[in-house]
Amino acid sequence: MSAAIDGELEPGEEPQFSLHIKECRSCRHEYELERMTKNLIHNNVSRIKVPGAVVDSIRRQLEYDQKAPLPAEGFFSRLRQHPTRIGMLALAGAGAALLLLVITPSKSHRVHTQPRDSDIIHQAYNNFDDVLDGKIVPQISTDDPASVKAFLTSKCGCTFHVPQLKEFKLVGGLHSGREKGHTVQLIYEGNHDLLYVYEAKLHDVAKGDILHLSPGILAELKETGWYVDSHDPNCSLAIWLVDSTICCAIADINKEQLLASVK
Amino acid sequence: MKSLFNDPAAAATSAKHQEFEREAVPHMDILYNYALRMTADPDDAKDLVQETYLKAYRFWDKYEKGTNIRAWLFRIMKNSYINRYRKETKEPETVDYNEIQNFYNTIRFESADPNDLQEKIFGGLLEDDVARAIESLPEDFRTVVILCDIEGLSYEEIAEFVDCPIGTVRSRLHRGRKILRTKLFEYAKKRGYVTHD
Repeated sequence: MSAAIDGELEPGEEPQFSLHIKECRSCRHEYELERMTKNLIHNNVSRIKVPGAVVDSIRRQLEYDQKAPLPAEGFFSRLRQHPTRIGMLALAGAGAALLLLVITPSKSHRVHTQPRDSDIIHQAYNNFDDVLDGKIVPQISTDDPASVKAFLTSKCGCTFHVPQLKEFKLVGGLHSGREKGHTVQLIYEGNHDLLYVYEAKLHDVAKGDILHLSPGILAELKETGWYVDSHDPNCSLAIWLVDSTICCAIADINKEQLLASVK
Repeated sequence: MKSLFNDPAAAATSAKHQEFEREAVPHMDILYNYALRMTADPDDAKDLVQETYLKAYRFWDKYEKGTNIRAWLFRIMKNSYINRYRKETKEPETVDYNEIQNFYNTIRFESADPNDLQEKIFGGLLEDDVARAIESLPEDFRTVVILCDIEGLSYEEIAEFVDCPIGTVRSRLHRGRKILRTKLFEYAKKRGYVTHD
């Protein structure tokens, strides 16, 4: 039926179809209704051209990619060296071109089996695991903090902090959230490790809408500006405040090294 | 193991860039339009197209020259879409196909002019109504309807886009349009355009 309407019948099918449609009333009606529906869609739904701003932004992204393919290379090869539980990383499905990278463990990163709840610290550890597994990848890949900041600002409509760290170079960033508040994630690479930064707005966290922070930690943050959690000797987390943004950094390094990088 | 992220010589990079610009960039409209109809959100559509082009650029050496570039880009986008947005596969709601059929039968004899008939059944529907009806279609049906009725692609190309036999394209189109017309009839009735009885 649809083939007849779209002029896509095989040459052999045509005479048969027209003969049948003449004789069979219900098929004739069906045919007319379907044709009307197609016309209605065709005449009422316009093709929307991609806005110029979108084309520009994609071109800019491609430029970054062309000029600085190294951050991506560094990022993915770091993942490969990075210890993980999974042997293969399926790079976000590019169809037939699906790429499988074999990750060979070099040193052991303990997977943080944190509860999957809205506690910002649990969430940050879980996200860090996902970054190492390649499940979280940057939406923008560049080592230029200003570009990442501009990208995130355009996504969130408010500014987040893109810190410059010692010993770690920016790889890229991503944003998530919408109605209830935004969160931002940044990925950095050092000589041997990745460092992950998770950010949320203090007022969103205070409202408990997207993430929450235990009152004790919040009090300590407000008093000293810092909170440090050493999950095990080789993996640490630091939280600090920049204006109204909570920044939470994690890396597979010890507490002192982490603080030295972020402070 | 071969890395896809080898940094080629600058000249080669620039050649690749030019080739990509020439081959892939002109098809942004069809991808954006599809993304917009699938996500119903300009921001999401933009993200989806952006992600698609970045991936396509990175995997450019995997594209077989001379094959259908639009279909290749489309499949990358479909994958990204599924990874990002796919919720539970929506089964079509049970729809009463008969109502419109009956209405059609009652007015069929009043007028022989097909334009007039169309006006009587769907008259006054706005572009928004039609767009909303398309958005409500289950994904597989929506895809073929967009590609055929909005983009005007041939069955052969649609089959290549969605990686299905032509027979499947045919039947999805038929079923998709059938669900659509029922939806549209409902809207027309709600808006009071259809007045009978």
